[in-house]
Amino acid sequence: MRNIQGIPRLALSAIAGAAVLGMAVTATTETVSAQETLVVGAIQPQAGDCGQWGIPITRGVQIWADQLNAEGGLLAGDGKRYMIELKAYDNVCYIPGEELKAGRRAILDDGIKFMLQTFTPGSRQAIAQMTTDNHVLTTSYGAGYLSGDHPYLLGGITGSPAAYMLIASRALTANPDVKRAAIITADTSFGLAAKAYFEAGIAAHPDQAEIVYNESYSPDATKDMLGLLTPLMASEPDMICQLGFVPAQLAIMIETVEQLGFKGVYCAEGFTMPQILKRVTAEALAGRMYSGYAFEASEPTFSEKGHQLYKTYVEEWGADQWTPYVPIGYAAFGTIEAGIRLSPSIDSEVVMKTLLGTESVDHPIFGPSKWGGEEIYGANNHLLTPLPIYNLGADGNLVLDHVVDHAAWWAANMDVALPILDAGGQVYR
Amino acid sequence: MISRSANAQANRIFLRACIGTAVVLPLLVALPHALTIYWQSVLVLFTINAVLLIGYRLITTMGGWSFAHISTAGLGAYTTAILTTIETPWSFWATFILGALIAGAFALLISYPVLRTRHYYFFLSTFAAGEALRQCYVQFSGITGGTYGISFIPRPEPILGLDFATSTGFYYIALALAVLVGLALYRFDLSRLGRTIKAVAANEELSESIGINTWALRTLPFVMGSVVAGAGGVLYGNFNGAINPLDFGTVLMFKLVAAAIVGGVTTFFGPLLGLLYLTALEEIFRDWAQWVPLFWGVSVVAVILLSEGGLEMVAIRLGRRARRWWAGRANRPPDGERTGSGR
Amino acid sequence: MQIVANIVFLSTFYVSFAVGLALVFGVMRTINFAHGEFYMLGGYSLWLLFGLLSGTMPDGATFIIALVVAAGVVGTLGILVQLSIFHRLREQPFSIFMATLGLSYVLQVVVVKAIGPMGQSVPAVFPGFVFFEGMILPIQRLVVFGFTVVMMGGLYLFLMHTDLGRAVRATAQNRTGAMLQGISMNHIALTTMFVGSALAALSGVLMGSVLIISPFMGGEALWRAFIIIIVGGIGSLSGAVVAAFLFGIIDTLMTTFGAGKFAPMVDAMIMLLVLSFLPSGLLGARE
Repeated sequence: MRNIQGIPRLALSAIAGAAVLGMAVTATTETVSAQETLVVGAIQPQAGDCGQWGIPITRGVQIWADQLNAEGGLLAGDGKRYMIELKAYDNVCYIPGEELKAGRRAILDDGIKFMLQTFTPGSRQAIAQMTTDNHVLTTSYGAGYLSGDHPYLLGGITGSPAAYMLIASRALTANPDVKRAAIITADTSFGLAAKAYFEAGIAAHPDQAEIVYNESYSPDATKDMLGLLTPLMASEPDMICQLGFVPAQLAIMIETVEQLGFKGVYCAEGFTMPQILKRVTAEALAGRMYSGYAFEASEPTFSEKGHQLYKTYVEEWGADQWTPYVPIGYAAFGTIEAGIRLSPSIDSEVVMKTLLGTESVDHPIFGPSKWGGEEIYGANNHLLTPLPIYNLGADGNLVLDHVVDHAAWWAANMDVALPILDAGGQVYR
Repeated sequence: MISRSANAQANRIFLRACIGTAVVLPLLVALPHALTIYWQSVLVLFTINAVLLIGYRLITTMGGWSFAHISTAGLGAYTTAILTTIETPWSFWATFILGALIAGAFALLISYPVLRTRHYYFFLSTFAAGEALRQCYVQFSGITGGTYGISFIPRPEPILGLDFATSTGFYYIALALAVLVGLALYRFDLSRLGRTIKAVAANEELSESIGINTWALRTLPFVMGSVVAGAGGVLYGNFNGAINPLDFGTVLMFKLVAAAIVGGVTTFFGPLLGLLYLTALEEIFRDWAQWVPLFWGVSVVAVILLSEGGLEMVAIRLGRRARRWWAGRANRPPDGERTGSGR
Repeated sequence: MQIVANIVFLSTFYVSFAVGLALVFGVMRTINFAHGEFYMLGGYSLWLLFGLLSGTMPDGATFIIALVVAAGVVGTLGILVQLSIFHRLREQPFSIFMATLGLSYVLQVVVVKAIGPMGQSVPAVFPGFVFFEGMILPIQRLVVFGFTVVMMGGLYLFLMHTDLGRAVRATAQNRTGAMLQGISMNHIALTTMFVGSALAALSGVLMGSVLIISPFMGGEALWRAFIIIIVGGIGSLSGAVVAAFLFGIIDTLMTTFGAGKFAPMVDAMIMLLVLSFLPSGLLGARE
């Protein structure tokens, strides 16, 4: 009797298994286009909580590829056009061990030669040797970790964490009456990096401002915004620098401190305005919100090409799914795009050498940019793109506030900023 | 007298397992040479996870499902990472032993609170213990590197001319460990002590009433399994070359528990079947990363509901049926005439 | 004084989330890992109904409708889970744990694909503040607090003053005894899963009005709830409430005094300490 019952169960299991395998096989035998195709990779969280960052970033990179393909492919320095195909690899939640697993899939199995990864030092270090051994040019939306021993790791744009320093500094320059700064960051590797860079940016204005609150929070604690922010508000700041909240959490933070009577300025890598404006009016916040990461594509004047990214994204995914994170992978791949356009061959080693050997790289979004990073990383592999900083207009749209020349800022403030970054564990030379 | 004959039977079963291993071993040794470099790395991680699982199954024999196993394995990984990257670095092989022992010592330390609990309480209290340990990796950043972790951990130095820098070379360390630990724990499973531990798990009050020291019999497998976890952790950290507190969180822990559930823990090979299944699932669906949790969830629920006791039971039923089919064929007379005397 | 208010608000959240889980754990002796996703679905009910009904009726009415709809829909889902997973895998608590973990992943992906990965927030239904004794009390938070009290009161009445509720309590305290009394286990299991799941959804609607609604909001809340019900004691709802306040106090104080990042470690240590001396939790019955 048991056997008779057992048969359909086994059969069912077998059918389920076969169906699953069948799906896999049909999907992998998709047609390959006749034109030459360049497969690029993006290692980003594709599911789970961090998917709130990773999925929009990946979508941005896909639009980068689609835009180039719509032009008939990327025109490389060798005179040929290459269609771009993107493959996404999951690093779960920026877990270095998973980054390595994803890197093995991309590099060892799929033979990817150009890819995007996150900037967090642990994740960059985890695949540093593999990118070097296999000549995989790896860009990121920021530097995080670079090394002369690992020349294939690039800081593709100013990005994280350097931008935090520039935003805090810009907010202080634009608001001479701001004197008391609060820093609140997540107790994660990127949160700790942001903490040091915010400190460095504020330290560049020693006669103006002091840091009155500077704490890391456990990401666990974010469900109690009121409890988290009460001690911050008790320090009576007139500037709040934040990193680590997901967009909707940032919206709730702003609502909460506004309710608690905050009147000063905010600094963050990006503000997801549709979420924030559901909670606080634009009139109340106008002129008080400083942000900058790569560029804000919803703002039309900084880059026409970049603004097209916003239009495409909103058309496909809806305006309420827009976040400032969409353009960062798009912009970071722009550096590889510039390299491939310049290089006489699409061999990744030649592209790397051409790119690093070019004094002023013409980035498709930011225009001419110089390499830097020697003082922090011991290697000039960080492309110091100009950083557009945005503020909020009274109509609820982000407006361009100022474009910071990263290289010039660094030259002027390095002596003050570098020791602080060193104390914060951010110097890798 | 009874126990001696039981012992002889255990020896016979164990001998059969040894012979089986000896037959399969050349295949396992040759395997990486048939694989691409990527699949070699998958194989190494599979083997390391198998070591962790073999240790895990031992813990489950005492009736508790630990959730601290991966954090404990992290102790091994941190031991090797710290000691091989300091200014006067230790030999990998010394950290290998030390890492396993430290993991065992931690298990002994937490055994007092956690072994007072049973069932879900044990599961959740080991979760708390493991999380506390993982938070130590984050907060004692002076030695652990905090949330940045430790990178550029060197591969083991060669011994006897064997090079472990490549995935294949490293695979042989993992394979040797898996085979040795596997056989040792298999023998332990068959031994009188191993059987007593399972009996205690089945009925603790009765065991206590006939004078068995249940406390010791629960602590022993917990500590032994954790030593194995520590050894596996050393390999994990060293193979990846970079470790981070996040590596020892719930992601890998869920994978181990899922392997044990999907495969079943009644037999020795059950968890390994489960691991094989989950690894295959991961590799097959890797191009649909956003859908992976869905496939994972659906297929795990389906296997649990349909297999009635895990994949091991499916394998056993299939094996039984194959044997019966074989026996049916053998019973058939050579001329093909049906005898009608079948069962 | 603000600290007191913060403690009350945080504890309210812990209570509303953990009680449903404790109820299911107490009666079924297993953990519904998808409890967090049921809570998440409650949050999305609020968000969806806001999108659908906004402007057609007062926000307060939408809020009430969301509570009813979420409890009904998710409670029904709980019954389906009982029939398809819990019942078939009874006596295999870890298989249930793993199967509901699988279910929680499925629900997350379904929401990500149907609505999107980005966290959402709804505008405050009851905006504004009350200033009291130097405390700043957002009205929305007070409303959530009030509804949680009502929810707990309703649960109390159900468990104490209805036959079905008494049978549920009897089962949680002594399964065999309850069976000997002729209580139908299937019936009790269905009731418990409906009520437990509906409580999760109600908590999701309430907290969805003050927190972020994201496909993953359940996961982070769940582990804390595990610690709370373990410290509170198996099958003890009052224990869960006491433990929720205990951790509400500890977590708020640690955040206030700049030690928030140590909170997960300290909470885990406290749980280990409690188990060392009281293996069945603060108010749990000895197994």
